[in-house]
Amino acid sequence: MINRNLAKILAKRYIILASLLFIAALGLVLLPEYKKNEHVTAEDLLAKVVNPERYITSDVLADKIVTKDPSILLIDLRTPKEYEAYTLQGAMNIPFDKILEPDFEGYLNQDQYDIVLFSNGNFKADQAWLLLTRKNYKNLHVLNGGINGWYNTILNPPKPTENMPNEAFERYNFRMAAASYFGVGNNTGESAVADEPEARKVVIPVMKKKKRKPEGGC
Amino acid sequence: MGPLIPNGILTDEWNIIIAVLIGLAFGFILEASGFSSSRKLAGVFYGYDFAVLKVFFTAAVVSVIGLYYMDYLGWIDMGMLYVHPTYVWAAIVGGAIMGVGFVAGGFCPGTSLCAVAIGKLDAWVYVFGILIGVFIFSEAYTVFEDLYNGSFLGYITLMDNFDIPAKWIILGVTAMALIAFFVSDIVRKRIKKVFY
Amino acid sequence: MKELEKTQRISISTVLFILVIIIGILTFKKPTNVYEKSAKDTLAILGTQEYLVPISEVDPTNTVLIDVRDKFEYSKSHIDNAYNIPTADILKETSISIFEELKDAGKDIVFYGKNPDEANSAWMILYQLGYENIKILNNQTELVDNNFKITPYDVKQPIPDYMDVFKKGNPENSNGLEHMAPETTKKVIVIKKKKKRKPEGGC
Repeated sequence: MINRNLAKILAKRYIILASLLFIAALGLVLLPEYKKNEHVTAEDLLAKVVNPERYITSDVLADKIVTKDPSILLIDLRTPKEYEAYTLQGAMNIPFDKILEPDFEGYLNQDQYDIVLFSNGNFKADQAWLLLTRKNYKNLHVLNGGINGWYNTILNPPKPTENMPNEAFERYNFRMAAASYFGVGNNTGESAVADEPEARKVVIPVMKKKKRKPEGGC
Repeated sequence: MGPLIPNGILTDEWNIIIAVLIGLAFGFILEASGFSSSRKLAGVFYGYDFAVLKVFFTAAVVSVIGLYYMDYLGWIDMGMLYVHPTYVWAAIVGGAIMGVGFVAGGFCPGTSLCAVAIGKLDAWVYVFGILIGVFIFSEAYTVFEDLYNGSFLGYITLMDNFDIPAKWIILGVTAMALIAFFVSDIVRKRIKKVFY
Repeated sequence: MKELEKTQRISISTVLFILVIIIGILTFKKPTNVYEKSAKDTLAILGTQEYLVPISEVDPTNTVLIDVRDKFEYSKSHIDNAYNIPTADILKETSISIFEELKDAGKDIVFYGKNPDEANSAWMILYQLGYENIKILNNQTELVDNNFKITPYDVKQPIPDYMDVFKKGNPENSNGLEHMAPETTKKVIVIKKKKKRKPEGGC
């Protein structure tokens, strides 16, 4: 009895399987739509925002520039005019309102360099950092204080007073040395030329993130 | 979550391992479906065996349905998957050449390797022919270059081109597959059986 | 009989396939807090100054002030009638429901921290989630002598005379202005052009 029923069903097995396939496809049509998050979810973004790790202090950055650390890429978010007037050594200019343009994607979306974004203050650099992090770009950092902070700490550091601990003096000495490296107070003609690092051309191959391409074939 | 490797869940080194595993499974399925027999493959064109059509169409439909369910559930990001670029004329000409080779030789490139693995002599000849073809194409690349790179339409898909949501296309393709299976069965019953 | 075995395999895999889909759908959770604004739209609004309001322009009847500093800072002192939602908590369900309520009531929300920088991130995330009624207070806040002082703040102003620092040590050199700022070397970075993908074989 059972066998006969089973045989009956089995006789139609292909039709059953075929209809299952169709039902599965139909299910896809009937599923309610919802809006999806692209890239980084707001929760993950917030977790990254709260973490102060993205900030790099100007002292650390100055040290990296002086020692010619090849792994950092400085991005100046200010206007081209401000960039022309003064910028950090080796920085490239991507004006803030152009950061999402595809031309610059190759620089910003890569995993070979530690990118340091800076602007006049933290405000614009933070916003750029948020926008780019939302797109899941990696290795982005923000220069804490921006150019103004750079000025106040490296180029024109406040003199420590007598009652400050030793480290303050050490830091001050470091900053003074860094400042002279960056050309503060030594533009008396020949010395400026001597101190100016020769216009080296650093060629950095920034590769577009390769999409993994599957190879066809059967 | 997925795709696993572009999202960094697995490292790049896994690529080759996964490729080998999938390749093994693929070869197994080809052999298990009897595709290392050139008569079975050529059967589609003569109408006495539609296993090839059924296997590949089913595979395509199952994977597209599965992928879109996974996309819906957030397990995979369809936007990150590779879309094959479209070169219209190159595809048409290449498809025609391949079709002729398919009927004449009784293998497609994948199944010829399967047949080599089970020791068929004609498959050896077929694979050797492929290599000669590759060699001629590479040497005469400049002649074919215009065709090869011309009429590039970009990485387009049906839904971009016709502006229809993917789910309707999937439903349509599924229906098409089922109708094709049904029709091919009718055809097969009418054609004289060939034993091989 | 052989044919039957084959369908058995197909049936087993079909059942597994459907099982996985069903399990997936049963365990499926819709994502909360979906971005409403694309990165491009957000960038467009960032270029304007619309999202910054100084304290003088805050309309107290229709605006809710929210302090994004941490609880400790808030408890020391804060603007009158301001609520406290630290940046880390802005996406909590309770906070989101508050924002939702205020949005529906048509009220404006103004975030403030010790300066606009601090309120920036919280505002950016919520703006991208579609809360367009949120603004940032364009003021600095500070506790001075038990007085909560609110001072104006200019967000993007560079230090006016920061180029002067290069003049140090050579004050009489007046006509050498163009030499003041040290030439900074610009990195030349080569981007590899995206290679056109060659189509690879197929069946």
